[in-house]
Amino acid sequence: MSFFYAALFALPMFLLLGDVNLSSWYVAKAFPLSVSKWWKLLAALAFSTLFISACWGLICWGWVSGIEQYSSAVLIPEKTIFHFGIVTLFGAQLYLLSVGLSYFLITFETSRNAERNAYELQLLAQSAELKALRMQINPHFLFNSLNSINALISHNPEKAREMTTLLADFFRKGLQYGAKEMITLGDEFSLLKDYLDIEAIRFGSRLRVEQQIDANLLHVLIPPLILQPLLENAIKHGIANTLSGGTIRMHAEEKNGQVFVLIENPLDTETPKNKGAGVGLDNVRKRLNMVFHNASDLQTYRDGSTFRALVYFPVSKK
Amino acid sequence: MKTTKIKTLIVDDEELARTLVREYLDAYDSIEIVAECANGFDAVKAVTELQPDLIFLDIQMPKLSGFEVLELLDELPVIVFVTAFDQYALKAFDVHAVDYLLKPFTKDRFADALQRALENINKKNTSSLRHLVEETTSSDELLERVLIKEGSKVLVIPVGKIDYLEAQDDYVNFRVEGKSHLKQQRLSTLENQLDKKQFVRIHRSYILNIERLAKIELYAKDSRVALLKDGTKLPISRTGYDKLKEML
Repeated sequence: MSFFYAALFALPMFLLLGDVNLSSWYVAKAFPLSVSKWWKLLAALAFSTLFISACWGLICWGWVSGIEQYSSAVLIPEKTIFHFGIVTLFGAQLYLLSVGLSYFLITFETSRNAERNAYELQLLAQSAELKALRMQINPHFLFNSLNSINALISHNPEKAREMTTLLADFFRKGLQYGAKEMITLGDEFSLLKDYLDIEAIRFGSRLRVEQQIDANLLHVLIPPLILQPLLENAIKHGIANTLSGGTIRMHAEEKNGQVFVLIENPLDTETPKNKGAGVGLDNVRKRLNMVFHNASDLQTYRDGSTFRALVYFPVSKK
Repeated sequence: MKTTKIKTLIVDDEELARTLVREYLDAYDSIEIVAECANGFDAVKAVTELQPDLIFLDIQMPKLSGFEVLELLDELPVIVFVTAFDQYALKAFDVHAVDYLLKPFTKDRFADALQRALENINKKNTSSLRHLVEETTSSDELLERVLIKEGSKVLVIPVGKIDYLEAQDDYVNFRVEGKSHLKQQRLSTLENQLDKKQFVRIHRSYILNIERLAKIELYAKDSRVALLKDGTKLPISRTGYDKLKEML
């Protein structure tokens, strides 16, 4: 019988307390741990605890009195001893517990948000970095080309026009491809061809090119302007730094699901090693790794008077 | 006095770039183009043999840069640099010495540069240019090769091939593979430019490539000589010995 009475008292009261304690969430939100002054926080907690537990104590007392008054003596044999203080204290403890839980949940939520923000920021930074990396085209290439056009205008206007158009094509493709995540190997090679045609006008007979590219590979996907910096290096070190120029060899083939692109140029052995060259190569490597992870790489070999840059990456098509 | 033409040299590795300078110069009767060179070696040779008054000089060229060409010349003509690289330009304007033509340039800009050059030829004013050359070639970077002019030929010596250096009055004698090459330079300047891990000033007059050292012999009390692998003996001063001890 007393079990029934206890349940009759406790069930509705604890359901009520549970609902009321949900309000601790708002208290915790209004007074965040990290920014609130400690005395404000303490005052808010003390006040809300006192208020909620006192109200609950009063309601409990009312409920007990009501039950006593309206139920029969059969149902409740003895007189109930109701300690307002103890009930209130119990309510206060449960309330404080729920405040603690609220703070815990809020902290958890903030840290998860922070993590997501950091991740989004990282993505943004990565795409900004990509844009910067793509703009690697050497400005001196432009200045020297404009100087060639300047020289051609008076004695070979047709050639000057041709070179102007080639430059425009090259930069247009650079902008267009550079804005994409991936382009086809065929697109990259058409950009390289424009570049070579321009440099052929500048360097004349000093620049010779041999190409051997597997036609099946033209649809394979590659991050844009990956090969261009390698070709630019090849011309800078292999042609511009040698007295009589030389031959640049480009070779692309597939082996076991991997594409291998080789760019080879002669070197002048007496010219001191270029110190700045590593940065451009590092950028190419970085961009390959961003897209293909560990399935790709750029390797360079210096063998006497020959320099080779080998890029490999897995075959992927649209 | 009259009708002595200004002997002019055009140095650029790109043919079209030379064409442009030649075309602009055609308008001036007082100018005589004595030669065109496509690289630094030819430029040094042409300057030595033809003694031009004025050079239009590219900076980025195969083998020898424009600055290295100037370093090798005993007598400096008036120089107008012609380049697409403006990173050097600031340095040049600092010393107010030479003019710079940044590619591409207009006929008017070229005329200005030529005018300034002609004024300098009349004044025989090349002193501040020498200053520019020293400044750009004696940078903090370690020397990787030494350029020496013998007659109109240029020798390129990688520093690793040097056995030792010997001071001789205003010159430094470079001993390389058993041969001597003289260059007008101070030993102390070279000491600062060479890798201290490989080259030691063992004496007031000697810098030794430590890889050539066979052993150190006691010659007299407090006096030592370095015996090189090829049998050469070099004196070692007391401070030189301290430096050597520290390294070995």
